[in-house]
Amino acid sequence: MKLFTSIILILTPIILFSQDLNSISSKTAILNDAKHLEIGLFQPIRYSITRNWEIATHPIAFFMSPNLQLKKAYKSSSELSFASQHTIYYPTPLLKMISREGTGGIIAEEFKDDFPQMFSLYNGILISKQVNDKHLVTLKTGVKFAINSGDLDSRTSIDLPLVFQRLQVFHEGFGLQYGFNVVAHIKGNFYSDANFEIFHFPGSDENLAIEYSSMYSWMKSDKTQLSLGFKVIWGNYPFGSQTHLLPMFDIKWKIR
Amino acid sequence: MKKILLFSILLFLISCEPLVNNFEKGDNVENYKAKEMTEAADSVETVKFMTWNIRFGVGRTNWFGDSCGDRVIVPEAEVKDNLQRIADFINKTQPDILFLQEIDVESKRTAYIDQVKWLLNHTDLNYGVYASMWDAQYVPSDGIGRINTGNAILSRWKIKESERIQLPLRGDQDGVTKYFYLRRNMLKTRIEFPGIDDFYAICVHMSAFSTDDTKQKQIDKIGNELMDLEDAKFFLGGDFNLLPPGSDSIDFCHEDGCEDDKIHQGDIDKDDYHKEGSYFGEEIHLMQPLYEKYNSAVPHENFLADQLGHFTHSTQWDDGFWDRKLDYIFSNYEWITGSDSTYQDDTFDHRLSDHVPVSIEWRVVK
Repeated sequence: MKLFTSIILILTPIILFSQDLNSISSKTAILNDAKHLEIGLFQPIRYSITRNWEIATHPIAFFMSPNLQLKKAYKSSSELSFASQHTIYYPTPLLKMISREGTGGIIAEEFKDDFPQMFSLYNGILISKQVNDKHLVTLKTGVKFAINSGDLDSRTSIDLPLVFQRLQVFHEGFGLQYGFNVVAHIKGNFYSDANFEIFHFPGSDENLAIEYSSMYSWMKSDKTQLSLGFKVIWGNYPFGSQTHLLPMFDIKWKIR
Repeated sequence: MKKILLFSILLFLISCEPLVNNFEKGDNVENYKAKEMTEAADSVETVKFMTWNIRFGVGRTNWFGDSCGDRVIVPEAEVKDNLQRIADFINKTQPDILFLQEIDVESKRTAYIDQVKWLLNHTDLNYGVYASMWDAQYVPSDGIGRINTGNAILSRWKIKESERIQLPLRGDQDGVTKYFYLRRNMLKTRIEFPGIDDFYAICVHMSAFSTDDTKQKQIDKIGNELMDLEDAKFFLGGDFNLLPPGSDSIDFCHEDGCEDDKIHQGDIDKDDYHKEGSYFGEEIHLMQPLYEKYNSAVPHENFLADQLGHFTHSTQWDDGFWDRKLDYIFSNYEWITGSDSTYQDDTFDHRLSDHVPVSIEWRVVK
């Protein structure tokens, strides 16, 4: 039981911090039909207000680190689809919560009262192209800014894969994020999703991270999708560079 | 496509990297060389050995883990300042072979400074070898984060061979704590000493807070390893976390206790009556076999005659002095009589660590 608690304590911040609010459909410029509502085990709740506007948030994380994403689709040609993504994220309460003594103390308690109020803003564009009847390719690029009410002590960094790269903007002020995604229809109800992403923080000592994930999804029904895969992360950390290979698993439900 | 799918499933299954190094794979030692070498004499008459627990280069700061403090992550400038003063002391005392305990090589708490490399590059010692006792990608407790700390041996002469010998793990911890906890070791090296083929330097750091028979098992393991070297020349230094037999004080619960600790309350036979690691009553005899069999840098009778003068450790400093002996050097060869030093005097800045270095000289016998 204690092992389970410890694993949960490590995994929770990883999951919460690593949310890019992305799922297979969210990584492309093509939006779902209006009123479409879906949620995943580790993914955010996603709602299409209209055919051109989508809103998403991670419901569990929302109370500890409020977050919101808007996606807007633009007029598309027959070959290319365009969309923009805009995300706001406020991690201060969660960081304070995990600054504690004892088990579950991801950040040392000595910093608990020193966290400034911090917001990050991401703005990006996505361009998708259906290259044939089985493959959809998306290019994406964006820039992330952080607004901090004061200095953030560099010793508060969480030097773990996925987490470090996503919180680094609060230490550096801004960063770039770009990559590509390929969704492929394998056969019947099986799909694959390959995603390549670069996190770049110009001028920083830890200026680069590269992530590649490969997920295989089974559309069990119109409403349920099961996904299994892995993610490779190479990145610069305060201790040097390291590569991690992580398992990935998710379930997504279409509510309507 | 099937092959790709199978390969992906395989990757999924193998992709959980362990958070903690349990040292069951690989040779588990890391070798170092100074950036600039200092010439070591081909022929020497005496060799000076020194042992020192440097408390990961944070001096006497109120670290949360062992001094009732609240500090966890020490700023880089503070660590470097301490390391410089440690290097200054090493340069002043000029040991030829140095046994170091609690030295960090990649720890968040000490700004990820590789302290073995740093000390080699700031002293006259040329070669080093490191064996970790705690190597975790992430310790999800108290904000410790990534940690790699352990034992090192620095030497003027080349280190030919080295081996990390695992000491028995604590038996009084639950599975999760044990998984993330320290794995104590004995670092055995063979030095390329001029004219001597079988010259061994060994560094050890034993368990500090165990309340069961872990220390007995660890000292037995050390004893067995030394028996294999009886035909060679060995020099063993380290922090044994044990008192010499005959020590006047054996209970340090009040000295080590923090404000909120409940000390000496309840049933005296229960494990929590004493503060963890501060009562040595049941372990007081454990150093006896080493004293009997080998030559101690501070002979037992010298310690008994002047205990205060040979203390090497204290947990608090503000209103105290060194209050117990935990650090020792032994050999199967005789030391130069009277050449030992327990650096309690003004030559040693007591702010450098919670341990005093101990040194001794050996006249070379070929």
